[in-house]
Amino acid sequence: MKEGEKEDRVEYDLESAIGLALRYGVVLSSALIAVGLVLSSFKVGSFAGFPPTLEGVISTGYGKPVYSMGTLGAQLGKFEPLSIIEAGVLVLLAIPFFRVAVGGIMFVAEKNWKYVAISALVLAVLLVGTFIVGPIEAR
Amino acid sequence: MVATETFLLLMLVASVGAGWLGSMVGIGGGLLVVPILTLGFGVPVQYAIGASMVSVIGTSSGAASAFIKDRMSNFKIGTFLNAATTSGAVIGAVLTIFLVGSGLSWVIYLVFGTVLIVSSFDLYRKVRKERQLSSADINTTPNRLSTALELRGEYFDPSLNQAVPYEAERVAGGFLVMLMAGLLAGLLGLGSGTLKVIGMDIVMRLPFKVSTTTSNFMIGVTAAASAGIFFLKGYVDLVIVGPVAIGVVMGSFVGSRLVRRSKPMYLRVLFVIVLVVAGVEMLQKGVISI
Repeated sequence: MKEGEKEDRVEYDLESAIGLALRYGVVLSSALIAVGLVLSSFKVGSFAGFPPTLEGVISTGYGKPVYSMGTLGAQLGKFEPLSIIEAGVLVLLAIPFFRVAVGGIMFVAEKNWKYVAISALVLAVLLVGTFIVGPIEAR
Repeated sequence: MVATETFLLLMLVASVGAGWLGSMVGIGGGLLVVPILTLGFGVPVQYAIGASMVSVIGTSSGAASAFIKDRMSNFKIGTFLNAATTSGAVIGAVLTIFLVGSGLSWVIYLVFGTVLIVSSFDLYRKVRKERQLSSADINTTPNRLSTALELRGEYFDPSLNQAVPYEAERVAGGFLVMLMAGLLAGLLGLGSGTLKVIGMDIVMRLPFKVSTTTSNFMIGVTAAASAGIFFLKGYVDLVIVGPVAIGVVMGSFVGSRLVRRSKPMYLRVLFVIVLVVAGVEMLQKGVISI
């Protein structure tokens, strides 16, 4: 019985940790997006404001993310509003990956190898989707 | 066409409303975000789906962090079924990209309209379920797959004032429904929580509360499987996704805090009407653009 309680405890702590990480991840991402949006109404540095109409935003592909981490970093350094929003979106996109990975670690701690394998499978689908199917579809 | 600043402001308010209403009645905000963007602002459907998909990750992750504390959701069942939903979501995203690329966006509108109308029926089912809550229809008999995969658990039901053990039934069928749920999620930019709950509640005969909380936990992971693909494809427009993502998250945060106290019957009726109207409009838009 003692053993079971102890395992329960580990599980509970890890679950609480996941819960906290999820919440702070979402808060961080929302905060970044909000800062980006607020900054967009001030014309900071070289930023001249969004295109005046929504149609213009869409037809010019203005809101397209930059797909290079280097470019994103450089733009972030200049407090470009779009790059701050993109950083927020990337944080949000990363949360589920993180969560599945931590879930897998939780099962490692429990020595539940069956569920370590299943977690790894889910993570693999996420990774294959994003880093193999995604680039193929984007061509 | 609408000015960008007006769009940002209106869409933020609308997203807060969608997230709030959605979490009050137990349906994701994504169901309303896509119709608002496409019907309300004339945004091409792929950008609406991209924005919605990203916001779904936010609401699910936010909600899940609250539900984990309740210890209602079943982590193993969620993880196992996520293998199906993520695979389905990747296929769904590929299908969306194919349909948009081949000028067949009307198919997406038709499927979306149908989903909205079916979801409105499901809301009634939920109301009924909550009224006649009994442990009689919960499965407790082990079977080969549920035993092998440890798909069982126990939860404390406050209304019955006792711990209720449960065990998953018809695991293969549930897995198939989850594959479909994932496909639909990826295709339409939704969490497709409704179909997930049906898979667990009706097919696998898990307790309703376990089904809804586990579904919430699964939605974010499902969404991530297609969101990354949409992001790389360029369907996630940062100007459009901005107000949607923070709006829906804020709205659902407020809603999930309120929902514990009240059982808003009139809101459900309101939501059913909104779903039917939006569903009919989406069908119409689909038919027009055939």
